Amino acid sequence: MALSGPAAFLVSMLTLGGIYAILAIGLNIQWGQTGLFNISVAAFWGIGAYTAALVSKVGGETAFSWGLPFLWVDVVGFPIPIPVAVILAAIVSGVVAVLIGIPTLRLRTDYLAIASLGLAETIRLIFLNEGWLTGGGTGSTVSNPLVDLQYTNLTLLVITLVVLGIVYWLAETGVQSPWGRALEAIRDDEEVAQALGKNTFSLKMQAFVIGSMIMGVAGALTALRLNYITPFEFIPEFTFYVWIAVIVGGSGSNRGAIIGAGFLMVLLEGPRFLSDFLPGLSGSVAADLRFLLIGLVLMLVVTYRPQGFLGDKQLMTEDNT
Amino acid sequence: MALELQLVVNGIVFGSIILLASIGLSLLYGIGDFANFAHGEFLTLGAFITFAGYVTFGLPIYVAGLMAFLFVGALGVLIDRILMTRHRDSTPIILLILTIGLALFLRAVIRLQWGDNQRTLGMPLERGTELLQGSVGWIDYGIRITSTDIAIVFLALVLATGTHLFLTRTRMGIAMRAMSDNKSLAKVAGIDTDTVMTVTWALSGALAGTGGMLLAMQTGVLFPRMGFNIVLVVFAAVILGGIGSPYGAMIGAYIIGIAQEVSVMIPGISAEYRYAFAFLIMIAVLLYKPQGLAGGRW
Repeated sequence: MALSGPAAFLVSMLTLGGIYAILAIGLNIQWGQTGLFNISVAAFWGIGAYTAALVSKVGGETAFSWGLPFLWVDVVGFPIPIPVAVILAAIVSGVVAVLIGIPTLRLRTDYLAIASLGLAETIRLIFLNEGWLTGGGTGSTVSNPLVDLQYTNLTLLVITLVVLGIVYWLAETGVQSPWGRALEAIRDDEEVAQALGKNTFSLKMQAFVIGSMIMGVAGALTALRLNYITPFEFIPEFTFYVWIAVIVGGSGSNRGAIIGAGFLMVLLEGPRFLSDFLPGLSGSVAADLRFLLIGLVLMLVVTYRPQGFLGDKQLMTEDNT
Repeated sequence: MALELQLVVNGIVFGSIILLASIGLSLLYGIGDFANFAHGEFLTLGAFITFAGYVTFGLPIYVAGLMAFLFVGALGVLIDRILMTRHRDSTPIILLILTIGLALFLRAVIRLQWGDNQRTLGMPLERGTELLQGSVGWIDYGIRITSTDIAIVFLALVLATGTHLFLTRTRMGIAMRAMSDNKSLAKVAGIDTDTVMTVTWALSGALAGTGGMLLAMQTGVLFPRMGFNIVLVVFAAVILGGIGSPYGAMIGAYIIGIAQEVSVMIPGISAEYRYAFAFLIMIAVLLYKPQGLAGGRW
């Protein structure tokens, strides 16, 4: 028996919120912790989703259809939880992050923003145009091991929450370690960190790669959630959803990132309920209102409360470029 | 196939379209010290105002273009007075996030007003005049050019010249250049930096609005993402020219425009990646010559 009605909706929203929370923690390591203004979140999210979907495909029409296990390995009927496709998603995202990081991480904050948006757009073009690899504009199916289960959506929610827990624990451990403090030093003043003998480029690269790998894992979970992925699920605009979560929750706080993801879900799903109360409101107008709200919230938050719910005020208001 | 020279001509036309957007973006970047991510939406809005004037109200195309110039310029003033005056002392990061929010907001407004579907400007089609025909060896130099193409290049150059005269011959223009060089010094010298900022927003918006009109004239189709699609190319032109330098932006716009069109000829790379080619130039400039072609001069 599958879930239905409000329960199914709640499960679906919690799953999506969990995925956004994972993405937000990944971005928080890059931005909140290290001060890297990355607007290519959607690219790494997409790379994770495509990697997991492609390598787990069986004899498909695209390259790399290796039929690898997505979530668990079957050993004579017993599922052993080794998420091969998810791990590969993180690795591929990490490798791409290294390649992108080499030229861009030396750049000033605002240049990094522009350059990373350019790279995100390039990666989206690759998803769209390299049909042999990604299925092009028509997208790619996902060999989802969860669809055969009795409680597909509930299982995915549990998996998402477990992953969120692991990612949160890792991020918090990292923040409180000497490594985390070195990243903070770079964020607050890179030259001082350099003067103290820190290899700031290497540290920035580590933060960038780890954050991107977390985004890749979120991508693999998204592939399971959607069952069918297209380039239009990973447009650069969705990067700003994750930014909303981080900024509203508070840059620099992992708990804030989770709260921010919850707030984001209210913003994203609110207009849908509005259309229940206002009969004249069509679905596409509700979708436009969503973007309107998101833009408005971004402007209001940075104007009136740049540190968000739980953030570091200094990070947003002190000039360190 | 008349390819080689034709691509250069196409590049000059495309360069003229991004020229106006680049000048405005570079001025804002230099004087206000931030990257305006909402600039693409200014282009889109200019295109849709032109659509409203030309198709909805049936006005002549250039009157519709003037509407775009005035309307988006006025919007620039409005944004500065309502939103940006509160952020005169904010960090570039806050301003960056602010303009991203503004971009999403403006695009949502455009979608609410004109819908998600493509609109067509429906200007009369023309085949274009054959200017040259023939070939030397393997190079075929035959080119075809439409009167719309000529109008686009002409209009862009007229407005660029106008901007040049404004910046060099008027008190306000000279104040803008002073502020771009050194904000505190300009303030000490008695320049009303607040007003200069507002005028910069107005000029930047008006130029981008006209750029949107040219874009609509050239492609003929309008959609809410049209400005965002080319805003990175505009950034590439600005960075190549040297941030803050409108003259650098003029050179940058033509180089990027031509490079992007000619990149179609590189074997093994499909035409879909021509925007990516502009990004690559941009990243290379940021790494190896971040001051751009103008090198910090005007």
